[in-house]
Parts: sequence; structure tokens; C-alpha cells
Amino acid sequence: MLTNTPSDNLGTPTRDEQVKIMLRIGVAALILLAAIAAACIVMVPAGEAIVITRFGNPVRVVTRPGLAWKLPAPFESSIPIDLRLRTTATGLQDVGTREGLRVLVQAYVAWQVPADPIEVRQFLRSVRNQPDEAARQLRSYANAALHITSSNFALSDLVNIDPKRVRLDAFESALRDQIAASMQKVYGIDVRQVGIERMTFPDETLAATVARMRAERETDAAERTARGLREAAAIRADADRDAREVVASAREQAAHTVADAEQAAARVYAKAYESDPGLYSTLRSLDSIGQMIGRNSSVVLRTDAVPFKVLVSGPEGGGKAAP
Amino acid sequence: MSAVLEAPRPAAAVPVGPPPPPPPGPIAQSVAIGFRAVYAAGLLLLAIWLTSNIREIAPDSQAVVLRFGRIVRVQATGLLIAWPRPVEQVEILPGPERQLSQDVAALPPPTERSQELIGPFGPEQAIPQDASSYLTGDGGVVLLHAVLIYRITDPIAYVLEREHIAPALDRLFRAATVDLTAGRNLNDFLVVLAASGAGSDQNVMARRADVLRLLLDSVNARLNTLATAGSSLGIEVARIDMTPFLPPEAKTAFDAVLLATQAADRQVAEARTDAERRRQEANRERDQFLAAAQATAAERVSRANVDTARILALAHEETPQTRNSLLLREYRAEVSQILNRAGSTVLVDPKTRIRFVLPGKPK
Repeated sequence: MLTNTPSDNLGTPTRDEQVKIMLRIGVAALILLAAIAAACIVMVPAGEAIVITRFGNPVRVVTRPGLAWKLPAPFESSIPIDLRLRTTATGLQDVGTREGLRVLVQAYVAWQVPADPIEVRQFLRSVRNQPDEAARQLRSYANAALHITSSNFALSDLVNIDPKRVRLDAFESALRDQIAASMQKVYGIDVRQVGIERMTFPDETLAATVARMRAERETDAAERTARGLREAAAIRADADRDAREVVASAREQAAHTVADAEQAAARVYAKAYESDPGLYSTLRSLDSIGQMIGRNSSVVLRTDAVPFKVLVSGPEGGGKAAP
Repeated sequence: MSAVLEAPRPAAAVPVGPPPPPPPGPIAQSVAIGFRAVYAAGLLLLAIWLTSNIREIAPDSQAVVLRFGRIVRVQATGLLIAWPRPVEQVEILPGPERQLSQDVAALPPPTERSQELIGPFGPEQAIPQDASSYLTGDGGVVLLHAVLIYRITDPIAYVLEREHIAPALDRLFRAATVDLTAGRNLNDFLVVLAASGAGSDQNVMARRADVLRLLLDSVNARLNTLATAGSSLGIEVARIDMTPFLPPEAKTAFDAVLLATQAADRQVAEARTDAERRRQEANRERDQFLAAAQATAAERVSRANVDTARILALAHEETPQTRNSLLLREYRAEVSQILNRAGSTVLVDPKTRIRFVLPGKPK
């Protein structure tokens, strides 16, 4: 009955009402605490530092990531500082080498604000926590350093067919030495690395370079054409020489073969002659005459010549039969 | 009227205390229902918020958990359970084995004339717009288009430097390439001199591989230098895909070299063909000569044998007694054949000058 009956005794709340009041007070306290925490807690993300300023004066620097405390505004404020690595290019600079030749060089500087309270304060004071402004001033300083550094190096130190004579790493080290100390002292910036990211020639030199490349190639093309023609002519000449040698050798060999055959034939004839010179002379003469006589030949003989002598005079010796 | 008609109720049935509150009206009921819905929605949103950082990490990813801005852990693949924002913040990154790629961007040209010579070129040229020019040690210019393949080795450093990695990586590569090309000749990047033989081809390939290896080492050395100085980018370059090009104004001359080489090779090939043909003709001529000579020789010997066969046979058969008769018989046989072969035979009597004409066979 008590729970469902509102108190009719004014000024003495019931137990239920007391719980409700306590609950409301607790929630209000929680909200108040949350508001106070929101005003007093500052989060320090990784890669950043927080500078706590009291009425504008930096009183401490928090570099450890996590939660940190500060007095609520307007007593204290927080300024985040980016501690991450940045790279800034110098822009293409027309610099002179030791021998006075012009080269276009562009360098980059890798830098960051170190997680050191003193350096962070220095960075904040020098460039008002504006990384772009820091990069602009760094670029300007690096450009000047680029001109100074390049005057100590010859063009052959920057570009050389012999890799051992290229001293670009020394150039980068010298450039870094030129920049690093001043950047740390003036801006609280730590220069981590310096590199030459671009190197080229001015327009006229570049055009001449490309023209030289073209001319060299044209010369090379002409040489290759001439070399090919020369080699082709040599191949043809060699082949012609070989062919003539082969034919000449064949002629010689053929002549020897025929000569050997003549020699063999002569031996055959000689052998036949030796067997019976009279018979040989007679038959060879008749053979020769037989080869000379043809259908168009007319033979003129005396009637008393053999065999017509028999035809005219009759058989000798009373009609002896021939053997 | 009601007081007259209704009978008085007994005292025990009359309720004690204040009268019950009247039932809520329709507006109050609607407001109550609305509040309940708001409570339910609030509870639902609370549940969603509480579970907002409970998520699944894919096999090719990893997660970095930051608690109030401080990196507390790195979660590999699997189920990630983390407090909701703003207590914990989860950054999803590519996994350590994932191969990320980045095209190295070209720097803007200083002048229009420079752009005409070495780019960056527009789409009208067959050269990628990202190709950058570099001086070579032999005083030439080569255009290189590069794609860097890298992977994450330090997720904590990567998540911190993520925004600056792309430009930093471009600059590190360009610096390494400037350093490398300044000590190399153009032939280390492009075939501008014809290789003479298989050995030279292997040398060219070895030099190309050497250039890529040195470039990769140089880029990673610069990354390591930053890491040693406490500014790690959290990545390692695994591979560099590099494509060289020539400045367009010089390319025609380089193409002419190729044409000249091909023309020269064609001349040599044709000469070799002609030479082979000439040698074959000579060999054929030699064979004809030798064959003819051998035939002539054989004919000559055969003819001698033919000419002397009968003589030898008769000489072998004859005796002193039969020699004259043999000789006479052969003589007559030969004479008859000779006279028979002649077109005509004229017999002249030396005493009477009478002539006998014996005509031969008609033609």
C-alpha cells in the first residue's frame, strides 16, 4: 500500500522517492563528471604530440600516445603537432657545377619533428605549427644549399660511365650536412634523408643530347649497313673463289684422267705393234683408210692394183685359190 | 432522480482512500508508446555501438588497434574484438603477404620544350605518361616507367605513415634511379647495340638483371636508412617492374639502326644463299668434268682395245707359215669393205687410159 500511495506527509519523501532522487543525482553527477573529463582529458594519438598551453604559454609537451590531463578551457588548451615523416621537394634548380656547367637538379628532403619536447616547442614557435609553412621555408633553404653544394662537384662526379666515379651519395651527404644543422636549430626539424630525385640538362643541352643520340644511332646504322654489304661481298667473293678452285681442280683431274687413258691406250697400241709390226701397220693403215672413206668418197685406182688386177688380168699362178 | 432510485450501499463496500486515477487518454497513451519506441531504439543503437568494433579480419588483411590514440596491438586474420569508439579505434591494413603496387609518378616538366623532348607525354605517344627521364652515364637520356611492388613489414609504422608513403616511395625510387642511371650506359636499359652471339645475349640479360637488383637494393637501403633513423615507413619493396623507353625524337634513329641491322642481315643471308648456289654450281660442274673425263678415258682405252683386238688376235694365231695368207686375207677383207663403203671407185688403166667407174650403193 505504501508503494502505491503517494506520501501525504509533505517534506518526508518515501523510500521509493529517495531512490529516485539518488538515481537522478547519480546520473547528473555522472554527466557532470563526463563533461569535466571531456574538458580535462586530451587524447594523444600515435604519431602526434600535444602541446598544453596555459593562457597561450606552452607549459608542457605530451609525446606519449594515450590520454593526458589538462585544466579545462580557458585555463589550458591543447595544440596537436604532427610528428610523422614528411618529404619536401626543392623544385628543379638550375645549378652550376665546379667547372661551370649547368645542370638542373631537384632534391627531396625527408624530415620530421622529433618526439622531443624542446624540438616540438621550437617547431611550434618557429612556424606556428604549420607544416606547409615549414616545408616552404625548408624548400627555400634547400634550394640555396643545392647551389652551394653543386659548386663543389664536377659534372663527371654526377654523371659518369664509370659507376665508381659517380659521387651522388657524397653530393647528398654534403647537401644534408648543409641543411640539417640549421633546420634543427631554427625550426626544430630533424632531416632524416636527402636525395636527388631528378637530374637533367637545360633545354638547349637536352636538345643537343637527344640530337647527339640520334646522330650516333644514324652513324651506327650506316656502319651496320656498310658492314652488312662488306660481309655479303666477302661471302660472295669467297664462294666464287671456292667455285673457281673447284672447277679448276676438276679440270685438272679430268685432264689427268684423260691423259692416263691416253697412256693406257698407247700401251695397248704398243703391245699390239710389238706383237707383229707388219700386221699392225697393214691393218691400222687399212683402218685409217676405212675411216677416211665414206659415201661421198671416190676411190681412183689403177687397174693393175690389187684387187682389180685380178679383175683385169685374171688369177695369178694359174688360178690358185686364195687361202 | 438517481438519489431517489438507488439504494444506499453498505459501508463496507465503499473504497477507502482517494479515488483511482482516471485511465490515460489516447494522447498520453501515444506518448508512452513513443517513449518506449525511443527506449528500444536507444537500446538497439547501444548494442550496435557496443559491437561496432567486433569484426572479421579477412585473410589478406590485418588490423591495428589503437586505444585512446595509443597503438596497443596488431591483430592478424580472424575475429577481432575491440572496444567501441572512442575507446578503441581499429585500422584495417593489407596483410603482410599482400603485394601492393604503385606506379611511380612523373614529375612535371620544367618547360614546354623539355616536355617535347623527354615528356611526360600525352596519350598520342606510345610511352606511359608516368615515365620519367633519367640521365645515363654515357650522356644519354632514358625514359623509365616503373611499378613498385611492395609489402607491409611493420604495420604500426605503416598505419602512422600511411598518408605519406606514396610520395615518399616515389621520391626514394627516383633518387635511387638517378644514382643508378648516372653510372650506367644506355645499353644497360635498352638494346641499342646488337649482340654478337648467344654469349652477348646472356651478358645483356645479366646486366639487366643486375640493374634491377641494384635498383631494388638501393630503394630498400633508403627505406632502411629511414627506419634506422626512427622514421620507418613500414614497407619493403619486393620487386620493381621497369620498362625503358627512348625519347621520341631519338627513337626514329634507333629504329633506323634496327632497320639497318635487319637490312644488313638480309644482305648477308642473301649473299650466303648466292654463295651456296655458286658452290653447288661449281660442284655440279666439277662432277660433269670428271664424269666426262672418265667417259673419255674409258672410250679411249676401249677404242684402243677395239683397234688392236684383231691385231692381237691374228698375231696370236699366226705362224710363219700362215702369216702371209692371213695378212692377205685380212687385206682383201679390209679392201673390199673400204671399196664397198666408198661412193664410187674409178679404175684407170695406166696403159690405155681407160677408166672404169664402179658406182657404190645409192644414197
